[in-house]
Amino acid sequence: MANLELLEKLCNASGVSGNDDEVKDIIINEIRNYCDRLYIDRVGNLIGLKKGRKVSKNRIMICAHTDEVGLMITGILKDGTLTFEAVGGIDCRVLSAKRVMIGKIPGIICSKPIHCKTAEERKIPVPTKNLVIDIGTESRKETQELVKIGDTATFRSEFIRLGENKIKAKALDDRLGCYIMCNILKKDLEYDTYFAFTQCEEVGCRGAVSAAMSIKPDIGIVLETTTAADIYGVSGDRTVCEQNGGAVVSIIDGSTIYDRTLYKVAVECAKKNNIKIQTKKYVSGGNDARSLQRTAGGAKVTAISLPCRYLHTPSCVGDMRDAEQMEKLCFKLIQEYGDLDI
Amino acid sequence: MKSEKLIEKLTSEISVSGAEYGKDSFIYSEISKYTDTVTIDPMGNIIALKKSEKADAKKFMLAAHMDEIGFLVHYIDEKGRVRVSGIGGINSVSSAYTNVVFENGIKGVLVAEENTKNADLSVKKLYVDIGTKSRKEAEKLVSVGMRCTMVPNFTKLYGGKISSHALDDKVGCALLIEAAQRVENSPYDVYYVFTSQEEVGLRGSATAAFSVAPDYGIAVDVTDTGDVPGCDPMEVMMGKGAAIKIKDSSAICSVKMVEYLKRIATENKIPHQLEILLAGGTDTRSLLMTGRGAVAGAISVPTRYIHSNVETIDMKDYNACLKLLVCALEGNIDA
Repeated sequence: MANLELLEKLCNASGVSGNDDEVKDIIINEIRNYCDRLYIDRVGNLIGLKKGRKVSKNRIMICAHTDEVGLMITGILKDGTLTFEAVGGIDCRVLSAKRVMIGKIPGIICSKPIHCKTAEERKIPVPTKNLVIDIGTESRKETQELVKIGDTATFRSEFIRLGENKIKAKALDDRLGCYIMCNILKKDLEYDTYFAFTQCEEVGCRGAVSAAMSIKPDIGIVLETTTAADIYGVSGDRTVCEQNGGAVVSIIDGSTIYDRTLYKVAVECAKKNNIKIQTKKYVSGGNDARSLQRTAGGAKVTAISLPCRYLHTPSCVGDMRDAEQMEKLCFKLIQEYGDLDI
Repeated sequence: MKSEKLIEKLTSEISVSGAEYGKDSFIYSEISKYTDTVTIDPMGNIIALKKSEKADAKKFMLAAHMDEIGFLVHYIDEKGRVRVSGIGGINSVSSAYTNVVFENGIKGVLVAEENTKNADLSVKKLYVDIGTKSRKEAEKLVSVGMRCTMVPNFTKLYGGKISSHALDDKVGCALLIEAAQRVENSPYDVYYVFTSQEEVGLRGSATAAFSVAPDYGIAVDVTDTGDVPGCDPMEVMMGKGAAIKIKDSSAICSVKMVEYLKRIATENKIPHQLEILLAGGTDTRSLLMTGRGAVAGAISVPTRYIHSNVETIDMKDYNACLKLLVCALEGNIDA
């Protein structure tokens, strides 16, 4: 398996939307020596330009988001526990009894025990507003010394290897994309390429808008994760994609219809270079591609994703064999897309 | 080409959102005849410019979307049945049990799972039977990502009415082409823009409007009518003339544009009516709000049964829209 130290660091770092400096610091440290220009724009996107051997016909921008779904503290109750809201799309069913970190402070998400619930309450998942975080304190005053309203919390879930080829971590969405970008940045590139580590994707692909507005790419490549529902109980037409099926290339998702020429070139490129890919088989989800495609005068876009099980939970599971294929494909596409007549 | 022939031609060519007409299309070659330059932007919008004789002319952008709603293959099962996702606002009741054709000409029938109650009918319950009996066989004919739409069904009805799938918005495209043929001496640089991906959220018009950066804009599209059984109350009637949009769910038109179109229609004795569309958005929004914005409105063709296979219009309304469009481009909004 590839060198996972960097990916582990990235996944374990805390970076809920709007509060991802820790992630950016890791990335800056990793890539500063490989960029010809590196800066953070006004909304907080980290943008690197890496010069290649040539300037390409089409300006290429590669993009992955630094933020992750998480929680934000909204109140401190008398007994010292904390109310919170989800930041980004979190299914409230995954929250109960999970371990979280509010900065350096550990906590547990708790709700009424089963014997205190009414018959009606037992039938439905506990809504987020009825959950609180217990950090072990006993009064509001005690909590106030440790946590402030507006602090963000992440799932506490260590990066581990799972079986021969897989890994489990929180925030694989989209630290995996950031990781691949770091790896590509360290290679010699054919063409000048912009690398944007974007902000606030999980709350509506916001950072990518300003990144695209200032870079003005002709072609955008988004590195992402996508739901792999190749699991027990899901019928074939709902699986979206499969683990160890290769890098997922999208034709359409919930917010973008991808460029057909770029898709075709990606498929041909994969074939030529023996790279394993699969097509996303269900119209759902969305990512920064929508912002890249439709900001200013527009850009042609491609998304390359990791088939990821249990997305937006503490336990995202990815297969590093797929990640390898993503990296190979993205690296080759810089060359193919740069040359393209569009 | 006569208007009806033109519309029939346009409805017979598949252009589901995201796979619209390109350089080798009828629209591209046709609009090239009447304009000075034609380009295609990254989103696939076809942008044609007819320069004014006047120096320093202001920019007037017309937008009609060339995409239509349709279906996209997302899965082929082991028995060779093709599962599709809807693109745009699909009416499942109208879609079930119809003939469809794929981009490569392969035909099929779009049907619902047996015993599906009408109330439970959704795209998830539909599949295309293309006559194949295994996945292997089917994969030789169609592939994941391929689009299909209704088999062309253009029909002339009594008294100058016509019916077809995809009149939304092939009639708008036809109007732009015919306007480009007719407009003489416009004081404006006129941009005839055939937009992409309107049906999935007004996407193409946004980048087109950014690049063109117009001063004035008119979207040309279809609108609902209030003259069919069971419909919501609405003033617009089929046969009562060109609809001048005041508002829809995506846009409130510029008062200046609404007043201008009313004035032009009255001066030229063009039958017209005012439109407030309760549900549905149009490219008008992009014209109004992209970049630094434009004074914009819309001219709509009153259309019955929108997003069904039998959208129906009255050619009298079409002709009124055409005349209004031409007069608006030849007139002076600041006069």
